[in-house]
Amino acid sequence: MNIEKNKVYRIKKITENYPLYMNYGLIEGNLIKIIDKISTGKTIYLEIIGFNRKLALSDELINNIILEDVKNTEFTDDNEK
Amino acid sequence: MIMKNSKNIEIYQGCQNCELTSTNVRIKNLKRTKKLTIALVGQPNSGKSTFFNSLSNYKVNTANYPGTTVGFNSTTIYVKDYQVEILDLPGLYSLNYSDLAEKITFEILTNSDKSFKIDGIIQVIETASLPHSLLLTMDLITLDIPIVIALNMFDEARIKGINVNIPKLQEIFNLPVIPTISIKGENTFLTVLKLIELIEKTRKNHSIDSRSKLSESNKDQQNYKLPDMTNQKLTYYNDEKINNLLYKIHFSENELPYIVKNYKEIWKKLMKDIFQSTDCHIENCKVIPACLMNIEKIAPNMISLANIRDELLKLKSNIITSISSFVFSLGEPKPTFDDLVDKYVLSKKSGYFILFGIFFIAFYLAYFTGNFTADKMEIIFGFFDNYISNFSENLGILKPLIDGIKDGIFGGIGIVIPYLIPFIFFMSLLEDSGYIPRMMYLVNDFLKPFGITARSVLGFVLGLGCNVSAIMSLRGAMNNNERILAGMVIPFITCSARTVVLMALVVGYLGALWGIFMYILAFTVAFTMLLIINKFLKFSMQSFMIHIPSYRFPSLKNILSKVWLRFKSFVYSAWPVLILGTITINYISYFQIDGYINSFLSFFTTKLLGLPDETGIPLIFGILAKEYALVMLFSAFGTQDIKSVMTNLQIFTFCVFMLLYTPCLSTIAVQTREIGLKYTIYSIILSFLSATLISFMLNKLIQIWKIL
Repeated sequence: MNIEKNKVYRIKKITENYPLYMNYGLIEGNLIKIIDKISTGKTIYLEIIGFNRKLALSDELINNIILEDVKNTEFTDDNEK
Repeated sequence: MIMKNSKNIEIYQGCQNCELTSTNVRIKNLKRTKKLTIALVGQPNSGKSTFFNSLSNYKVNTANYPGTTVGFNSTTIYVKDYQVEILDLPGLYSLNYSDLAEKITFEILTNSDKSFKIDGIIQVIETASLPHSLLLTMDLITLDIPIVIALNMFDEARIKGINVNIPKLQEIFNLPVIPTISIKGENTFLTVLKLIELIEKTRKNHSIDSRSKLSESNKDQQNYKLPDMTNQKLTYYNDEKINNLLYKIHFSENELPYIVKNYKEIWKKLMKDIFQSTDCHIENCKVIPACLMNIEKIAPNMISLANIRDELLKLKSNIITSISSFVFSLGEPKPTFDDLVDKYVLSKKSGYFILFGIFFIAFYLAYFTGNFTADKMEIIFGFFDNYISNFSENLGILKPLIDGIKDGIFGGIGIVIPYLIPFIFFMSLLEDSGYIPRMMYLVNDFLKPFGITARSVLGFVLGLGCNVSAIMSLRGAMNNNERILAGMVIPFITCSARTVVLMALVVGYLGALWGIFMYILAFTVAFTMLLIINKFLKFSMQSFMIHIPSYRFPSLKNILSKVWLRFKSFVYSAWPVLILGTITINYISYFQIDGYINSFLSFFTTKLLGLPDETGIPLIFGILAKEYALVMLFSAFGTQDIKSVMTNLQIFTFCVFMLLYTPCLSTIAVQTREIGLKYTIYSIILSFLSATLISFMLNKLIQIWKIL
């Protein structure tokens, strides 16, 4: 899935090593917002919205997360206002 | 709610026999016969070490990035009639540890490490990250150890508009919850007192240790069957109400205390099933359900158990999401200071410019202030130097002793300290600001070809201060291969001891540009070594994940305490050896043994590298600690004016060799412990060979190009 900057996604499923992702707050059902992708786009900076946590992680790890696009109607990013 | 100055009042209320001093609670005329061990546990960067420092009067280093504490520290305080040992443990996200630092905490908490029996836990939570921190709380309650929750950095959370319903949180977990501001020492002692009260109360209520009950039951030889997973539903608990709750996504306010209370029992029941229905021999897991967290590591073939575990983890996440919805609110969303700064700091355009700018300014200021202080010191100590030298002239065999003490003391005060202190100061500023994790994010992609992740960059940055703490920090690496790889290469990074030599010799005699060249050279060699080692050892690609903390304005008190802590370490450990070393070299010279040693090494020093004979002994002493090479050089030549005894090319070649060759003894010791003897030997051989080759080649090239 091609993730885009400033978009909000819901974590649908973690396909591998669930406890590790959970440790960092990446839990099924949580909303994440992609804040930035660094130059080559292989390291991603995101915010776990409900946990008030910011996280940097490499693309191999994000590949183990099945994300679903959250439509604007479902989630209003108040920070953008 | 925290009230100003409430700490003193509450402590007096809680402890009639205590008197409060500014830093400690001490006992009045009571025998301290009872001993307690209390563990400070929390997620990385939650402020455990700051909490610990407020109890111990600053004993450990702190910083604003995850994984500052990779070993544990302890201190003893006296409260009521107890002698309380406080342990500051490495941070962990949950009992499912993923690195070596977390494993240390896991083993101490689960009593796998028999050195400690934990009587109580203070879970230090960063208030702003409460929902995430509850993951660990849910695990800790399965340990059957009294817990008090410290909502740390409560003031910061308030400023951010975060609200926590403390009474509700207490009700759900049935645990005392105390807001604390550990950097100001507010309510930290109160938290200890509350925990002691809780321990006393628990001991009264449970005369038999519940953990021993569980371990007894594990010896039961009845055959149990594995839980039925055919319907993908867990039916562990013989309470229908619980079984119905297990698959709920959201729990009501009334259900939560009940499900949290029984969550522990669900784990216990599951553990009982595992112990009694399988042949799986699970080491270190005789006590608590926590071992199921690490089932892949302990019993990799038991996938079904891992699946059950994952289901239980989902239950846990549902519980904490529900709890958070009742006890935690973020308040009015507005752009934060972090958002504003990150816009520039993490930007592709300005981020790298800022990164290099920060390090350039830090080094330049360290050099500038160091040079200024060293000059002033030279004027002050020059007088004493001459006076003592004249005095010792006629002392015969005592002359080397007196001169050695003088050279060691003046070498420390006049050369090492002026450069060391500003350097530590600026490194501490960086550590406390929260910038380092952001730097990791910026550089991670560039590190992939070298086989390491930005997690190791922390080691490289810390390596600029001290290689020992840098190698220790690799315990936070997510993968063992990465730890070995970075652990072999970190000694190439120019530590503060080598910085002192570079500042005094290279920058002092050859100019600042040559100093910068030396740093670039060391980093280039380090990264080339990474490529070479990775090519031969064929380590797999590494993954990277790190929490980015909020920016914090570094507190001057904290920075000065850190400088003092590291300065003290130099005074207590390095300085005496420095003085002993100068005395030794003076006696070697007095008995004219130096000529034999230097001529033995002359093929290497003189023929190969083109250095004066006298450099042999300083290079040997440099293996003890790098700054000794400089002081020994002064001692060997009998002057601090090196320019009068060595050419610019010789100064340059000496420094290149000293920069890259064999790590100091402390680094070798830590390397051996952390990455093993085999890889340490590889690292030593590589550093010696590369130092010889590079200093030889650069010496020849500079001769050809006539640059110096």
